[in-house]
Amino acid sequence: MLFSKLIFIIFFAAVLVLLAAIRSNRYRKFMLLAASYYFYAYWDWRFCGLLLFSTLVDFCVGQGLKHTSRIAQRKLLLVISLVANLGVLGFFKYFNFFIESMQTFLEPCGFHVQTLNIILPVGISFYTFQTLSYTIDVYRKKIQVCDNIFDFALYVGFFPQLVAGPIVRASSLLPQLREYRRLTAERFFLGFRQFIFGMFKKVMFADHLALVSDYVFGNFEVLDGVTVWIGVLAYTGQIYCDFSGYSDMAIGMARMMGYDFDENFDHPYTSTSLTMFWKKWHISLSSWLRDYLYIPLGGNRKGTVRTYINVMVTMVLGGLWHGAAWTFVFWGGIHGIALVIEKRLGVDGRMEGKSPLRRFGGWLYTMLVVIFAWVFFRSQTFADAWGIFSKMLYVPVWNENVLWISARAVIILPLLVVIHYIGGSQYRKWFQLPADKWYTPFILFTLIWIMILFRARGFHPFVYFQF
Amino acid sequence: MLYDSRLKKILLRWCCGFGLSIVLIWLVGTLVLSLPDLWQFDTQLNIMIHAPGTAQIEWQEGAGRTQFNAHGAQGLETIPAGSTPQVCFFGDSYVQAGQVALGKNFYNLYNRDITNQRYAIAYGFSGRDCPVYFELMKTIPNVFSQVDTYVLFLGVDDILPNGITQKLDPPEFVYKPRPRPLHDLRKCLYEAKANFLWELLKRSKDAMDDIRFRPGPVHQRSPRSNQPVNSENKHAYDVFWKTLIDTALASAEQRRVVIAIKETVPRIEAGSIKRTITNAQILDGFIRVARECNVDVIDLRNDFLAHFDETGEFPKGFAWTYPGAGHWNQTGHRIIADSMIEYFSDNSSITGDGGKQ
Repeated sequence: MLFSKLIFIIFFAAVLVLLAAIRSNRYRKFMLLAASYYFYAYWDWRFCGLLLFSTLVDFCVGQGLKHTSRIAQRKLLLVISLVANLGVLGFFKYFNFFIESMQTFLEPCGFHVQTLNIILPVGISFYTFQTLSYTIDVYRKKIQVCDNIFDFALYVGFFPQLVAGPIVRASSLLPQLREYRRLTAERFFLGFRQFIFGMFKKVMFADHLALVSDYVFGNFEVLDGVTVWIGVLAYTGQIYCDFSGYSDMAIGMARMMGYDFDENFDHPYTSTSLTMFWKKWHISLSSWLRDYLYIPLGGNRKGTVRTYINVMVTMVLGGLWHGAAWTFVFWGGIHGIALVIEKRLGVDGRMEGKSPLRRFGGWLYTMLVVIFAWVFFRSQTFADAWGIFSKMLYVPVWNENVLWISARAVIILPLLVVIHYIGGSQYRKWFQLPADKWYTPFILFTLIWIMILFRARGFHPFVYFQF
Repeated sequence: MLYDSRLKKILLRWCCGFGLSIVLIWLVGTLVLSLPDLWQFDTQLNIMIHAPGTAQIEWQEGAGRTQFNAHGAQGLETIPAGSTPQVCFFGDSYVQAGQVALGKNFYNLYNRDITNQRYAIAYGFSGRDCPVYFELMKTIPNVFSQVDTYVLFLGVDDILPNGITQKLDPPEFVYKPRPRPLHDLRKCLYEAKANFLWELLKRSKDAMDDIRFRPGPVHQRSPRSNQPVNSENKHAYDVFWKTLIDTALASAEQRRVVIAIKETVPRIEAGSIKRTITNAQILDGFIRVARECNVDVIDLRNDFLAHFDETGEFPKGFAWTYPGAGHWNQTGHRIIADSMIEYFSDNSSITGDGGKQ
């Protein structure tokens, strides 16, 4: 059930009506839990078992941690949670990847290991990280143990963020679930506005750009360098609009229902360094990796070399989290190397008081690294990625060079750049659409009509569903 | 009281916003939305035709326009006053040609450049094929008595037993008007220049079609594929094609029937430029049977390929779509017009057997 489909709008409207009608917080949560499981089952009911398993394991581990103060036992409980969650994630997401990678070494020795036909459960990476964050925070005694299994199940399975984030921390959502959240017109408006903005990003920007980038990445061998550049830029825009659009819709929906999620994106393409980029891109993931991987590895507390190693490990594993392929690992590696270099040079991306030229230089460097890294992220294989690069750099190894300037890209990309720049600047208030202004409903309704009439044809699931 | 007044203000603001947005999208829709096909029954032609005097404007691919004239015919606008059409092109959306500008359609280019006054009209019916053409071939002389040659633009989909023909009509190629639900509403909205409302309805219906309430998994059926021609089914295909051509010849009575192969090459697929079509073997079999029946075949694939080799230009594709994909673009229409001019300028090929290879 995609957020941009009519069935979801009907589903969500029904949930809102029920929320307004039910006055008891307890029954509201039951209803939200049932709705969340229906939402997940709509895709494939068989994987509800996995969601339930992950929920039960971490709830029980949390209860165990509550009742013991012995370090060995607490460590054992934490290990149980890690093994169970990462085991499930590893099997469903990485089993075939490891088998295929191992085959390179095993086959010369006469071993042949078959891969399995495994379907990747939607959102498994997100809810696994979410439940792990709960267990680790309880282990660290940073948050209280959740004693209500239904609250905990709702925290793990809450449908706005279930399948593609943002990764909501227990410390943020569980306290909100404990109290009755009043539905107010103001909150509803704020949520609705963000939902429409997110949907517009997805439907009018990401989906249209996907038509360009999918074609270019699928046929780069015969396309001209300019066309390939346009395709890569289209993907750069697509992945941002797709994922931040989804996050906006999720945050907006939660807000309409009375719950608050933290923002997940903050105009990352305005960054003037990679360090800044990772503070603005997929904030819930980057902060998760920082808190539960980078800092436990030692962070920057164990010397310069160890810091660099920790950064690399974090970014490489962050890459692997996105998908079971070496191209994702490489993507993480590129970002890791850039971050290490920035640390080495003392670059933090803060540009206050710096000259416009310096700012532009920082932005250009950041965008080039990000764009080149997206090539690996999007390519199926390294050969494809090198092929794309050779086209972009006009290395004359290809016979065909069909020039195709996509009208969609020509219209959308500059528009996106302008909107993104304004949104990330001091003029961002232009886009705020205050509730009491006459033009706000006019603009919101117009955006809805535009989405209905001019949406891209074809099926475009959210990119981050696959992660 | 204060609360009531505030609520009224908010309601007013949202109602005004809704109304203004409708006005804006109405204006935008008038400018950039595709216009629908409007239909009416023609008593002389005995079929449903494109309503005379209407235009089809298409924005999905190339922002083009097709004009439907008297009796729903296309191309009359470029035939000089006092002249009459002698050739009639039949086809589906390719011949309807809503993707290119009016003066750039192949039949208009043809009429403009043909020197022997063998002017042409065209009938394009998006999504339909042989049964409509055959029915029309019987009645065209009622209104265009000088037409002596029919050119059928056919592709693989039109000549397969499980192609569009078979889905819409029985193999006997009997014409049946396609049901057009809500056509009157559509016409009414069109006339009120509120086509965006139709588009909204259509898209709402499309969205409704996706709805299911039962949880998944959803099993999708794979599309049916056509069987390649082999020694076992070759005879069945040959019989079907012979029936198709015999029916065409019978419908044309004494007039000449020419078949133009509309399949278009080259195209881009999986990172390479494909110079052949997927079902080339089927098409070649059909061409063989057509020639055995003494029907001229203009295989446009050769012209498309020659032009591509010379210029690198694809006959299909627009800035909104992909190179080599979709319908014919301006280049494609120019190639077809040249091919038709060449064919109809050469009188000997009109009366002779075989035709252009």
